[in-house]
Amino acid sequence: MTAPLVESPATTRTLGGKYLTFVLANEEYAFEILTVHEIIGIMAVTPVPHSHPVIRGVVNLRGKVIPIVDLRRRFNMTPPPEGETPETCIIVLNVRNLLVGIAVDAVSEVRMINEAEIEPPPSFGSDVDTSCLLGVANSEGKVRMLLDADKVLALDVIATL
Amino acid sequence: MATLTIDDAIAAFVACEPGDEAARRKLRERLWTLVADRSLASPIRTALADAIAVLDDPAEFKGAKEADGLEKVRQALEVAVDHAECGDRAVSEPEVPSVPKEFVPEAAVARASTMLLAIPDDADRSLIEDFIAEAREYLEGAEAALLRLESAPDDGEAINDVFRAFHTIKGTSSFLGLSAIAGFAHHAEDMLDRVRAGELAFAGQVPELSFRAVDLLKTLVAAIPQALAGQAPELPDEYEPLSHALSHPEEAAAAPRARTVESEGGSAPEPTAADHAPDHAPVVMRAGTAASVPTADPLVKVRTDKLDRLVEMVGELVIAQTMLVQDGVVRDASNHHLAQKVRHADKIVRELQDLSLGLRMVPLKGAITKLARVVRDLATRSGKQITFTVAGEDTEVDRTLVDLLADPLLHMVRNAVDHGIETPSERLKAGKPAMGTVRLEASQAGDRVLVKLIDDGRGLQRDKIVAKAIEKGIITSAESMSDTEVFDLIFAPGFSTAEQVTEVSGRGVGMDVVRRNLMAMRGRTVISSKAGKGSVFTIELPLTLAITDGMIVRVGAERFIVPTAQIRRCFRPEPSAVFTAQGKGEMVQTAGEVLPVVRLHRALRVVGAQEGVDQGILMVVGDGNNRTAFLVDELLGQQQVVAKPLGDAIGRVQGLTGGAILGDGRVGLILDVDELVVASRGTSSATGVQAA
Repeated sequence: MTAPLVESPATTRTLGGKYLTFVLANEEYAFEILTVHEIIGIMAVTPVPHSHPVIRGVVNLRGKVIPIVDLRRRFNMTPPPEGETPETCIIVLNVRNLLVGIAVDAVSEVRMINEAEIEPPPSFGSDVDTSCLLGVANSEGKVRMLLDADKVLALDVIATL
Repeated sequence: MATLTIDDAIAAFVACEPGDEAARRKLRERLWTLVADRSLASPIRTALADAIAVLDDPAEFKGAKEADGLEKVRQALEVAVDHAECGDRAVSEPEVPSVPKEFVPEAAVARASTMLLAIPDDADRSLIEDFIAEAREYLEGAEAALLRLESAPDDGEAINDVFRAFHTIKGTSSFLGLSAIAGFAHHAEDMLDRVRAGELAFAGQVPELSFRAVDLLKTLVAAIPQALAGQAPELPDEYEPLSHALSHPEEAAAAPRARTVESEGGSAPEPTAADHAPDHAPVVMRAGTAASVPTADPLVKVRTDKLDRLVEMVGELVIAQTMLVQDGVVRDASNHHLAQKVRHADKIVRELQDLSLGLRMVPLKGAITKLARVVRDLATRSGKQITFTVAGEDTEVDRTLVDLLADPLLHMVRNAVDHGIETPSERLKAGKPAMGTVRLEASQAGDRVLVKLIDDGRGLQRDKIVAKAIEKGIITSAESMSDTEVFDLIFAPGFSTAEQVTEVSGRGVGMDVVRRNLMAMRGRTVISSKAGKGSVFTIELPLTLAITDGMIVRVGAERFIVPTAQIRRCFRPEPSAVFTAQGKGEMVQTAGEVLPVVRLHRALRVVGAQEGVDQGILMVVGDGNNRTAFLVDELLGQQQVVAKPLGDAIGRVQGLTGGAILGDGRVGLILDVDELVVASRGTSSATGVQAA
């Protein structure tokens, strides 16, 4: 009822702007700051039986029940060897008006990334899924993968399981 | 980057030899790429996501089971290919609510001659949305007033109510540029104005025309959202002729009457009943509160989502407060002042909770007002004479329940008029007054709401129900069945069929669906009946769905909430009371009955739970033939919980109705007992294999 009727597809916009960067298995990733709703500390996750394997479970976000997607499972990575650390946290994203939490190893910073620093996603061969990358940012000697939140989550089909 | 297609995924799948993990990883990446591609139709993407779920499930690829896992992946891919082929490109439009703008001009050209309910481009959407709600309210008020007028055609206040409704709708709609609605409301207002001025008597065709005008306005108002979405709907066929009839009510007698046209061919209704001379109006509405002018009460309109959010936040506050009260520092008796302050805050929070829950409560009136109209129409059509009375319409229930009650009530009323009340001649023969009575009584009993529908018709006929149930194959013999059990058969799936319920309404769901919907609301239905005297249908519902009394159970390391209303009893079984059938299906003997055992940790895939049935607790759930014993590790206690959906991002998960925040702030999942029972019946052989 409150949902906007038309959501403009993100095809023609420019990629430069502010990003929230975070660490996952020693690699740096980033979400556009506009998709980030808030960052919360890691909390006890309730597993949901019969849900999709990439969904780790649900948590209580101030009275709302929101799902937590396990980004490591999504990218077919092994669980962190050291387990959860004080740095582990949950980035809550707002994707198509749905709140979804993503557990990451650590949040780094909010960073301005210029259009000029962004290159199209390279091809790693078919072993690595690059479809969910907006691009790769190369600045100050560091490479950060810019993630397309919508494609990473593909919530509309995961949810129906 | 070249776009991948399903064929690429199939190629990767073919490359997957057992044991080749690299190939499987490659397949997985391709599948994800396709799943994230919103240009593919969603059934395809769902099937591909299924395939990933199989790939990601470590249990599927353990040693010898790997071939089975690959087979499951193959099946999922096949489903995707099927969807891709049958849907081809036609269905592969993105699922985003894309407004099909290009269709509009086309439609407009094709039907240039028909009028459309158009919305001006510069219209203020929020104003129009307000108008929809307001118009509905007024039309309902007008309908109630018209029903009052049927018994008292001189009721000037009622005529004013109807006039005011048409007048206000005309004014607001013309201000908003909804010219089709404004034009029609104008004709209706004109006619009522003449009645008000005494130029025209509220008799003959006038009542019928007024009812039809209300109906048409309802249809138009209901079509506004569609028009807002960019697809202006056509005006109903009745629009023109009815507008004309309203301006010339004297000659309207000749106009075709939409309602009688569609009436069933067989039994012709008695012509006198269709003719609305007020002295023998078929329905007399005798509601307790006569004047219900919507403007009289000092009310504030609040958006429902804001209200829900407020109630939700108060629920959170209660939980936070509970955590505070239970904190060690507060409980430590040494700090007397702190304890006192916390107790004070606690009291306020509890009061706030009661208040906020009260905000969601609305009178049942909304669901009941419409019924008077249904009774009137049905009685007119079948030539019956019925008095419909209502008591307790101010009983308050949760807002969501009012909507959910509408269908069951409609069914019950239809049933009472169609099958309960006899025709006047039959009634006279049976020594009853020609005028039948249908009475609706709503009341509150503790934390439950009772809605009773009482008729003085012929009552349920045991023999007929039994004969029909045998004919439909629901039972083979009714020898040992009590009357209550026989009456319950009308709720059995497949009993009430189209010819029975839809003749009058043209649509409708079966009684089995009605009962299932009521059960989902944690409600019950009871029927009692006496041949020749009439029947009583009772619906019993909780006051609110917002709060569930739940039993918190432990299964392995997880906690689940089982609605207390669904639990019959709990017990710890003797090892000697547990049996198996064919070495698989487990059963337990208790209190003289034998029940199948469902191990919740298997149904919910929880590891680390008790395996031995005699080491856990068995919880008996379900009704009648569906009674089942759930095995849990431990009962942790009862708690009132606020049920919440798991969120659109997760959607509906099998076996769960939602989640709730537990006392420690974590989410507990609420079990869907009925679904778990049904699922366990369906896959009993599969669980048997695991048990072996």
